[in-house]
Amino acid sequence: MSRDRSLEGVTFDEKQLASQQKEARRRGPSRRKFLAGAGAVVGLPWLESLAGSGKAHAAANPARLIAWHTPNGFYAKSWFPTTMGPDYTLSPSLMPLANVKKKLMVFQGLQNNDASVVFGSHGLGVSGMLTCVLGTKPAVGQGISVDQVYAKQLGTPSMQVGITNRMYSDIGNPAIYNGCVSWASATQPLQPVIQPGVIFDQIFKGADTSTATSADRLRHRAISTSVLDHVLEEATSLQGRLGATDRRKVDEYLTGVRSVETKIQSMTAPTCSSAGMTKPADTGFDWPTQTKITIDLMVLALQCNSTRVITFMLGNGGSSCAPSFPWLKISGDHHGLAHGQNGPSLTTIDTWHVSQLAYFCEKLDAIDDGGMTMLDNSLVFLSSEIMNGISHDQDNKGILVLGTAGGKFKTGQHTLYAKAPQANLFVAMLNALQVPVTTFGKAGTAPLPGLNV
Amino acid sequence: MLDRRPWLLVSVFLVAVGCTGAIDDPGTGTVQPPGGSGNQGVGNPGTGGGVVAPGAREPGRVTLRRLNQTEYDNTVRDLLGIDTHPARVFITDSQANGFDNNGDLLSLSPVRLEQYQQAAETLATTALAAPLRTRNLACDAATGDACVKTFLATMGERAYRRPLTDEENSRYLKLAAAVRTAGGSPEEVMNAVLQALLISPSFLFRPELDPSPTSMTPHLLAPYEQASRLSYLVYASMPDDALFAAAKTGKLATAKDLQAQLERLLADPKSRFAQSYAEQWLGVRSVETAQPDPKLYPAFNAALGLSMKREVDLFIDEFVHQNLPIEQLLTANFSYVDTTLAQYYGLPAVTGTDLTRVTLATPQRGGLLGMGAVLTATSRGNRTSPVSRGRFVLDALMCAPPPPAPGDVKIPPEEEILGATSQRDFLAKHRANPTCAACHTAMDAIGLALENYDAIGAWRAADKGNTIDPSGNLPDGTKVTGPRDLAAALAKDPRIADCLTSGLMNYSLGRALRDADRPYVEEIAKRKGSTPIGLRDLLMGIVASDPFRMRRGEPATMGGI
Repeated sequence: MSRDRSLEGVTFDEKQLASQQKEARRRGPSRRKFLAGAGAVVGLPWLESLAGSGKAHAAANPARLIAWHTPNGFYAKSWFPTTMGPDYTLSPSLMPLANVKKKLMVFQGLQNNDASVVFGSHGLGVSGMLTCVLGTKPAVGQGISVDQVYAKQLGTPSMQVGITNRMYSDIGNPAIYNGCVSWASATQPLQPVIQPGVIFDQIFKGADTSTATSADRLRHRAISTSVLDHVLEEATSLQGRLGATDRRKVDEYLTGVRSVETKIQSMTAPTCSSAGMTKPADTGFDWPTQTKITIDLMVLALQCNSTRVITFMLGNGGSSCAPSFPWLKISGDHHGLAHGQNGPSLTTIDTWHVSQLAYFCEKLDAIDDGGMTMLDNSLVFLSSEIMNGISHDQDNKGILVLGTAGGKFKTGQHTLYAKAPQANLFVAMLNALQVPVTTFGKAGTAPLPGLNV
Repeated sequence: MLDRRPWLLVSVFLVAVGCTGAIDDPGTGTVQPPGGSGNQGVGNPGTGGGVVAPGAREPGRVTLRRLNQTEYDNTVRDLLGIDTHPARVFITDSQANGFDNNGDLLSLSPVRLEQYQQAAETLATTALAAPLRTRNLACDAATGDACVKTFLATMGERAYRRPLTDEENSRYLKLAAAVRTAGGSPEEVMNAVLQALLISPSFLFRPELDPSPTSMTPHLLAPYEQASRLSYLVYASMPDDALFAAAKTGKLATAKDLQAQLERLLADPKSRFAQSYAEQWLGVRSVETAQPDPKLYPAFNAALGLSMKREVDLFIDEFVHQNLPIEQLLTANFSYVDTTLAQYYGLPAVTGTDLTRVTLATPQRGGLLGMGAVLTATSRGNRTSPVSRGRFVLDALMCAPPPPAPGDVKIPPEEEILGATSQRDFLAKHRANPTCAACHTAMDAIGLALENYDAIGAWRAADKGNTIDPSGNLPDGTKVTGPRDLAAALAKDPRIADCLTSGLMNYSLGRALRDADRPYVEEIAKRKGSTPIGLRDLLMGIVASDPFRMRRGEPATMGGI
């Protein structure tokens, strides 16, 4: 029983795993039915290697996990509601979420400290946001991120999207830390794709829309598969001749080839239309336009079942998109404003970021997903790499979660969890997503209480 | 560990003023502008492997390197004759330790692999159709395996940058058979073979094999591996025919052979050394996409930014070609300008559309610190930052970056900086705090001497109506009255040669340097007799050094990064 190395730092409830697998074996045929119907693509479920044999667990319609990152923290005074509990009043920065307030959890008091070491920088905050691990430096060393734990559970591809590839490196930190929240393993960052046209193609990659005859299609697929088999064999042979570090690089390659192969093999007719959306250009948009297009593409990807796990970076850590927010009539870059804790400007910027989240969530909430809305059957997480732009602290972070993972996660409250590890929230979220983890990251040792239904 | 050279932990400048700092960044000054210089050559335990006694030398090893975006595009151009830059839409390679060719940090995600696969499909079809077909396919596809074999011996050998092994050849014949079994035509067989070549790990990576991957005994690189190291260093692309021939005939066996090839490659117009190395070293790679506030700096546009960057490229090219002494990087009285740039700098008009070499008669320009690209890259979008400029000099030229501000220091808000009557007054206030003064004494003196250049490098006599006073004292007591003095004083600093060598070596090897590289760097940077060291001398020293020519394995348990 060899355990997936990338999952170091995450522990599982083995008993529950075993029972999930038993259940999945029992329901084997329905899983195939789901796959055929949805045209979804299947990777290599890690649970198989974990348990030695048997089919991985997969519910008929698993919940989605979408994690948002916005840069440079939040202005606390306008961010946190002043009242607690289910009847709280939305704060100025959270007002855009009024329409989905019942499906929103506002967290206060959570810390993302790694064994009481404050992250204290933009780069370490970004790379630690979904991993709850303090990155090493100068060499890259992180942990697996929460979205990737879930993607492995589902055995389906995840998607990483963003708006910009400009990266700002903190001293001594690998620049990648500022530009990547998704980590497939401690050493494999999954950078976001930032070109809308490329994202569009990625969504429809699994769907063969060509007008070729079915015989042509089948032959083309067989040839592509032969090519991939060929390079898999070559890479495996090469790997045997390499040292430990180089072998790890080839591992990344092998994972990638297998993922492409799976996509090609599961090519079917498109399971959804592009919903009237035509392929967008790759570049040339202003910031708000590109943000809207990217959000629309995320919704499309979820609707088309091309993925169930997405991370979205609305800017990189320490991002200074100067001239900053002309459409909000704010000059001066975001990073600089955060350093000055300029209340009015930061509140306006935070409110704009939240309004983008509201746009996304309201779209999901309008889509039927087997008797509930797609927002109901999701968990949408939002946070930033830091809280306060002066102290760069990870204490009392601004964290929102929307959706109930199909009724498994509590919402509709503003709750204080004083000094509780953010990693415990991820344990609770993963449990709601039917991933039986018991620990996560460095500090996550139990599910944050009161959330799992 | 913040230094580019791990053994130079504390710089002379900073010791003199007792500069200390916290480990991490909570400060404004620590976030680099786009394309900032980063930290070249920070010690990387991943590539080091093992603890080496101080002074001990051993060549180390380089982690399997994937082609970065530039290298992929250049290689595809040279291999197939296709100059469409397919890698432009790939996920952006992350720059680390200042350069984007570091094997440890060039990771490969499934999305990137998918992009390689899609690009290979398109490239194979284009390469085997008219008008490129005759260039790329020297046999008749209808002859089946015979043509596949010919193709592997020509295209295959160039794609792998070495002859294929028997095992590899037969694997390709197996692929050809599989394609035929699937109903593929002879045309589709060739297409599939080319696709496989283009997504093969031997193409996408540059494998270097150890006779025993766990042996710590250094060995010379195989000739073809050596050829690739040279060509990717200078061309950022695959070896040319002459390099392949040299590898085949054993003409890359000695240090002299490598130096002769280096001279040949650097003289070739295809050399991309200045663009690939210097633009990253100086952090000016994306200067044309800088977005200074258009209300404050209406003169700036992408065309001007591009001219500024080209100026740096051509300037560095001349240092390489003429082997000019490295101290002249700061003091040179020549540069390259086009009409726009000449006007911008207030120089006599030049003719022609391209950049032209000019001798500078003005004290306002000369050397890297008077170049628009460097000055823009070290500024904010709405103001100059003497601190950033000072830090840039200490970091990029001296390899002695000051540590980040301690965690408990309150960095002044941006409004306060912008509201100050002059940067000089503002920074003087800042230095009244002894904690700040520790590091800012050095940074500020350098940055303030450059205050006559605005945030996009234009010369100005006054800022907000106040005449600029660029004078000051460097920490060692040297008085400077402006940019020319400053350049002359800095040019004498003996750390420049070491620092340049470290950066060049980092880039040439595609890995961060370790303690065990120190003796090599010092030897290469050491002045021989009274002749000043030229930029090409450093490169010649590097390609003749053991780290460039040799490698070793690593213990089976050492997990690299």
